[in-house]
Amino acid sequence: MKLQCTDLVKTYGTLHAVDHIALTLEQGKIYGLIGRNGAGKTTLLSLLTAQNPATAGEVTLDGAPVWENREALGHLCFSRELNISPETGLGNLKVKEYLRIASIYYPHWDAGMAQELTELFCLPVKKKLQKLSKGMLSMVTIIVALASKADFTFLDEPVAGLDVVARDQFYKLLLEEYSATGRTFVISTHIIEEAADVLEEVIILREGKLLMTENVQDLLDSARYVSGKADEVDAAVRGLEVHHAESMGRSKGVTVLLKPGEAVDESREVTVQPMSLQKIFVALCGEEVQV
Amino acid sequence: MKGRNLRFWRRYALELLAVGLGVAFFCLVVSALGAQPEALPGVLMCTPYYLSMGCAFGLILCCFSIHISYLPLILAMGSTRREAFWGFLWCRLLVVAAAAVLSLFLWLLLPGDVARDGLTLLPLLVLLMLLAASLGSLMGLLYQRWRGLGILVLAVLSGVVGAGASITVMSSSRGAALFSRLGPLGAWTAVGAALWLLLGAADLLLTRSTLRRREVKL
Repeated sequence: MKLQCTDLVKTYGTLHAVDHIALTLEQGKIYGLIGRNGAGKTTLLSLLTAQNPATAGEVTLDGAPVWENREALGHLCFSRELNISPETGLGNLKVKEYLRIASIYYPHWDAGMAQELTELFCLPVKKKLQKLSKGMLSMVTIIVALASKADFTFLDEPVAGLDVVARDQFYKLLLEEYSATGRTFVISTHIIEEAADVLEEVIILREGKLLMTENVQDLLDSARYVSGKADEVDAAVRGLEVHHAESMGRSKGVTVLLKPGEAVDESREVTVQPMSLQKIFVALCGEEVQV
Repeated sequence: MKGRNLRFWRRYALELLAVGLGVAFFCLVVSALGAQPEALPGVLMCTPYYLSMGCAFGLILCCFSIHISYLPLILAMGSTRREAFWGFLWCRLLVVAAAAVLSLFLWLLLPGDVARDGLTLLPLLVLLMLLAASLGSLMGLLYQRWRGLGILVLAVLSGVVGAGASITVMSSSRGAALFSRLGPLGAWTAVGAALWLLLGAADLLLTRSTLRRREVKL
């Protein structure tokens, strides 16, 4: 099963929230969707799950358009951050009512799992959503995402507001579910370091455009941080794909992404270090620094 | 429409009907407390009026909140827009039909002058409930588009409905007479039908086109 989008565009006035994105999501992978605030992550997830109409382009599941397609929508779940502001009126719903509605609409809903997770998270099901803390609201979205049993499950900031223990619990649950079912998860998050261990592929968005879709391990293997005197660094990385240069006086640090067969010239007086996913992200999406 | 969608809207219709029944029961109790013992059968026979009123009020509020909360919620959970539209329509019709059948049943069960008048007025009551649903839905659309204006219209209409309800409750034992004094029944039914056609068509067209373009922002 494949979820694909081709030339997907979403504009709001002159703003291109999603700008000509083509993407293929395969079954049985955990994707991380990362990007800075306003990069278009939530908009992209909304378009992929037909929650928002696209300005142009199409989303298909195994070749069939997802828009207004009951069958295709049954395979998708987008569990987003809950907005309980008075404008949505959602806050008046009790947790159990919210879960009941989810159980009606998700065709493969696992009521037993929802019950277990509710108990695990000690979630007060009789409370209204507006009475819950941010962390508890995140737990509700996690329960819906996992119990939906949808083949393609999208989570938007699932760990927002969760404490460290709960975040760890979430990643364990996610991996258990992934191992047991082979479902596809797409997780949009800003806490990259924590998620890095569970992600198989990373999708990086920048200003509405798709910057990169890459296997996490391959990306980690190819990224190096090269630092030293500016002229030595320049010589060591000549001909390589350089990102994000940081200059401090006569010293310089650059991020390089090595293609197969390429290497940093380590005969120069430079320090070459591997990079974490978060550092790679900052290098790709951050501003150049000159001090 | 698929079974799951029907399940959701049927449950919602039942909750809405429960609101109508609750209002009817409250009005009945208040009327009974203020009535002479010999007038109690007359009060009881006014129950369908209270029920229609309660359902109309419930329909205004619920159709309003469906636009604000429930339509985005079920779209977020994978309902198609087509299903949401037809489900919403089906829910309202179910409530109106259930209230009408209950009223009919009550008046057939307790025959008399009030029941006879009530049976004659039943088409008008059905139209009023349908109108209330369309009004609530249009207000929901207004609120969704222009927040403040929607609230203003809601406040005015709630006041009108509330005042109407109070008048009817105050003169509960003469409820049927009150309706019959308003003018020739046929004319009122025709006016109601015309209004419903106008508002109903506007509501359905706007709801459908808005749903097509609607973005889920939960």
